[in-house]
Amino acid sequence: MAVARTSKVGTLEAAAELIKDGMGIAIGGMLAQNAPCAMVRQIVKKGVKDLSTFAAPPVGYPVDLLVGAGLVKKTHHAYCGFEYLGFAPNFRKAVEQGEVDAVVCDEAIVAGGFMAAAEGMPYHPLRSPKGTDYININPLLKEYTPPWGEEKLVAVKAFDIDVALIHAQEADEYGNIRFLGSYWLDPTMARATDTVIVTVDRLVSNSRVLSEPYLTAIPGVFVTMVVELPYGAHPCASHMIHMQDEDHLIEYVRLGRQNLKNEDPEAFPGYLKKHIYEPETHLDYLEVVGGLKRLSQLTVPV
Amino acid sequence: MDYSPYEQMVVVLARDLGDWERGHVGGVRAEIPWAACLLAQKMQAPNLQIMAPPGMQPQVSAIVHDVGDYRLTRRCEALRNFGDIFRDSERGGLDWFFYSGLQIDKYGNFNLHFVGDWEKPTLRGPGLVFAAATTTGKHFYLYPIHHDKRVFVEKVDFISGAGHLDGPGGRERAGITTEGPRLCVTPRCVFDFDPESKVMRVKSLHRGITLDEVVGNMGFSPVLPGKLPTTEPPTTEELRLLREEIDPNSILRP
Repeated sequence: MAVARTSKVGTLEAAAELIKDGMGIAIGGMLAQNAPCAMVRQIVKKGVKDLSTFAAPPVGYPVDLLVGAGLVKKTHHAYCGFEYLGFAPNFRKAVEQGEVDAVVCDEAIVAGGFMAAAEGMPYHPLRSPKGTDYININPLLKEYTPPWGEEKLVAVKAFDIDVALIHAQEADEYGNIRFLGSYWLDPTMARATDTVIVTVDRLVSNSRVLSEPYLTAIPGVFVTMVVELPYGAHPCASHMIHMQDEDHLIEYVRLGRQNLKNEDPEAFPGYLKKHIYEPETHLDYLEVVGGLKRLSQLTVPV
Repeated sequence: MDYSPYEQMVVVLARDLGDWERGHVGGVRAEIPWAACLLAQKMQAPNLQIMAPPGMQPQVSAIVHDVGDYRLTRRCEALRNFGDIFRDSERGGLDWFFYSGLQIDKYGNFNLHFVGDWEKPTLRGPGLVFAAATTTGKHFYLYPIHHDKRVFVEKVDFISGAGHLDGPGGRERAGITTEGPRLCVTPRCVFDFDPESKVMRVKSLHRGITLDEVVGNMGFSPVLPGKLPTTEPPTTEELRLLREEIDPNSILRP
């Protein structure tokens, strides 16, 4: 009898065991799209601390939540906020109070840092930071003269990442990851470190993956653990499955702002208690945010 | 017909986009550049290439407020990702991009990071997406949604995106070969940049706006041309396209 191939399917709790104090964590998706929110909530629940985040490039909820829970010492991203819904309240407060070292990057700087790590190179060349102040404040940037050409370029140092957290729509049990919309920078992040955790809205069969290989964006060989987690991106969107929960994000920003403005010190801790510390499982969380009645409203006919 | 300040901003931006040009959208009110690109495609620029972060040439039934929303790209010609965007922009393949800005100075430099000292800011902004287009893109558009002294400052506290830097020759001295800021469109007026001094110059005032409402709400003096025309209001056809085909949910009329 043939020896069985090993499944990479795990649980949120088992995935969180892979994340330790002081680690550099990459967070996939973009803004309110495809963010690994359930995984990030599990980190908050566990209380993993002193984290360095490397996000998206532009990000919102996941980084603001980790910062708001007091678990982050350093951040790297292009933009952190909620677009038309407002600034990221916890991120803003923590940086203004000097509690978090926010390394100032543009999108190309973040992409370059991830690309260098994925290529195993010490740095990635950039052209675009010329003339701006990024080079005057970001310790990961240096101007240099390349061996060919007259033009001076900027080198961004490879990001030092211990674990990548990604949300996708589909995977098989061997960790072959399929995106039904844009995959943003996630496949590059997955190659930038040896520990890669992917949450997916649904598992599909290996037979289906074999018959549609053009949909696999991250081959299973690069994935450590896959967790099946319907609505694992909530309150952000999972492309082609559901859109972002705008009402929830508005309420999140409102509670965070009360913390920012020192109007109600209990407002944001109250959010964490209700949505993270009290619900035992992800399914319990989904009930807290309105259950099927709310979640079914987030579906867009395709 | 009556129209909103946002609709006026959209048509000014849309009219400036040329056929076959390439670019994509950003900023805190992304519905404004989204609408401008889609309107330009329906008016004078049928071959405009919208290279949005989630997808190429999105077919949109109604614009939304944000940049990456999959409602915009569930019908598009190709998906797009940050690796593509990095390569296309660092190589200099984009014609334009759109930014809003916490602070904008007289040379069109803008800041989305720090108000005050970098070490101890009075406000830490969100940062931004895709500053690269200010240095590698052919030109860029500014569209601040507030026209006041907090936005228009003599000198930005941090250069998040490169305008004309310290004035004439500033971009060249920094090794930047592209044009930089082209227009700054606010709810009150349109600015371009004086070719000699590189200082922001009033190009036209929106209907019903006085010069004092423009200049009195700025922290520096823009260049004033001899004649101050009124911004061409949205035409009947532009408004029909906006309201029937691009923005049926009226998010440009909050």
